Amino acid sequence: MEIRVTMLGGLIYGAMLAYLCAFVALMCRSRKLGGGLHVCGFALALAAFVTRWFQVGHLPVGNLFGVFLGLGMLSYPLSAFGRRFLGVKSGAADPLMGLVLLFPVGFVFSAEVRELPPALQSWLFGPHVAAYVLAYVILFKAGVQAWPALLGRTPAADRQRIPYEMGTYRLVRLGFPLLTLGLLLGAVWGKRAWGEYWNWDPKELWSLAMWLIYVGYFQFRRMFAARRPRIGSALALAGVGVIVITLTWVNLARIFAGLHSYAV
Amino acid sequence: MGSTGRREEWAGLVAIGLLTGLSVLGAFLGAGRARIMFNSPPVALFWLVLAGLLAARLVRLRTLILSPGVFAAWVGGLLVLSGGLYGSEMGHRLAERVLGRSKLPPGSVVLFRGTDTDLVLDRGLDHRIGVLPFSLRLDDLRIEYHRPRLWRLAVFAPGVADGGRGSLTTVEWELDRDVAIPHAPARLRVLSYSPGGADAGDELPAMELLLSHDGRRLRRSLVARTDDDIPQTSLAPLLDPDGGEDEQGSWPILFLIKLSPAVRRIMSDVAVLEGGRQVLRKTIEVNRPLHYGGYHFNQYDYDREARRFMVLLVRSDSGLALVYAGFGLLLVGVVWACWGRPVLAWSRSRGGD
Repeated sequence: MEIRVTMLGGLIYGAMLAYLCAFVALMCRSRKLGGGLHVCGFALALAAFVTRWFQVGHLPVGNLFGVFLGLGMLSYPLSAFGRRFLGVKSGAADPLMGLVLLFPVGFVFSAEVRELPPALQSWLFGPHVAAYVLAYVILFKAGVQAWPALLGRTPAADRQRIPYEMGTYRLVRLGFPLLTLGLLLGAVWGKRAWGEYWNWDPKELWSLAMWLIYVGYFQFRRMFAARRPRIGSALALAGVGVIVITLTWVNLARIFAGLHSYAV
Repeated sequence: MGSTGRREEWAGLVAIGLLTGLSVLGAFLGAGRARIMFNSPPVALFWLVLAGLLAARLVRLRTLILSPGVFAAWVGGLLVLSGGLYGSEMGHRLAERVLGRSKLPPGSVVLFRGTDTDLVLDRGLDHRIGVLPFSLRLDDLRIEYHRPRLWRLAVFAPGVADGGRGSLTTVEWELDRDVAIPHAPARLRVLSYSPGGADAGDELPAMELLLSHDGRRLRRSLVARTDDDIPQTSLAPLLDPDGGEDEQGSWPILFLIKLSPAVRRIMSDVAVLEGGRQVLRKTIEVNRPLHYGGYHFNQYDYDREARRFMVLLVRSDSGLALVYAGFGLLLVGVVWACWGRPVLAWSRSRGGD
């Protein structure tokens, strides 16, 4: 674990602190203060993301540092979108999710600026990774909704109006096309860079497994509608589990070394 | 839903579960063995059954037409599977037997600078698998680097990380500032640094260090005498309580090393020849393959030392149009099913207000 004594580090720690205070304020039912602090956290994380962009000279998602910074930054916009258009209100869970996602950026992952290898110098780099980052953060939030649904809880009267199971479904429906886009853009890029659209690489296979779990979620929900909400929620949580595995274990462990090993 | 429909739904769910399990298993096996597993006869049979399941659902057009997004995604998935099967080695053999179309399976071409060849070898470059209907010639091979090679201060810590084989870490330093030495309970201060000559070619640096640990201090110099020199100093005299020499190589070592720069671009100028006449010339790069005569040629490997040869991966484009059409339909279908209908319903409800 290391402390970053740089401007970028200051922005990241500032964002983490704001997210933490937002979480505490929202837990204490101080909505206005919590919401304001969440916006502050987003502004600081956005500033960190832009600073990093200037540092590296391209969309800063070439390694785990940048990917997690992007994930942490998106906590507030997604929270606002969910409230406004999906009727999903996760309350204190949203800034907490941002804090958890920024933690490895602040203390674990290397911030070393590395040159892009030839394979990453493609117009597909930005759209492919951006689609995945957006999909991941949306599906994380779906997991936040799926957890109480799995436990059979219902939202409090002053929280969201729709059941947690429906909240999960709406968020998975929002994130799944982005997951599909990321997978397909990756295949097109693989064809251009390595000659094959599918290389059976460990990361490709984990990504396929992740995509299939969400296909299974839709298929299961289609078959049983909302009659078995707990199993559907368990599938949504399994999808989040595979996302976590793909982001961390697959990227960092040697047993999954392959064409995507530069992404650490 | 009838019992046949219910059985199809269950078969679909089982197929999804099975493919998920196989994907996770394949990830643990690694790319090479996963490729073999997914192309083995039992799994090939599974692919065919899956394609059959998708096709069977298309018979129920009425159900699917009611949800055009799902229908498009369904057809897209079927096209991707069909294209993949057609482009596989088994598909190539079948196309040759049934349609009389003969295309080479995936392989490699080794191109030596200035000479032309039509010979295709297997991926391991051990066996010949056929000849192309045209020839390729490598005219030039150029490599660009991100920046010139740089001298860096680094520490090697034996027994740390990498299964105990040791860890090599660069040390970030500033003149006259104490910094911690990674993987060692000691600190260093760079007292002076001379980068050597002004030109990158004759740059031979010299560095004077002050090492400290537990109140003990040592001055050391690292001076590069040639371009390939790796000047070094062991931390044993500082860290070893006995203050002895490090004959076992068990203490961290500090050294100056010239790191190789990162490759920015690898460009190979390749000419296509038909009947000895040049018909096309293209600069192939990692993300810019050559497509000619029904084959794609991608950079695969190159001669890093003398730049005399380039290895290209050869892949026929059989089934690729089907796969790409499938990708497009799959994406359009998923986007429509997940986003289009809700947005349409939402805009209708707003219009109603």
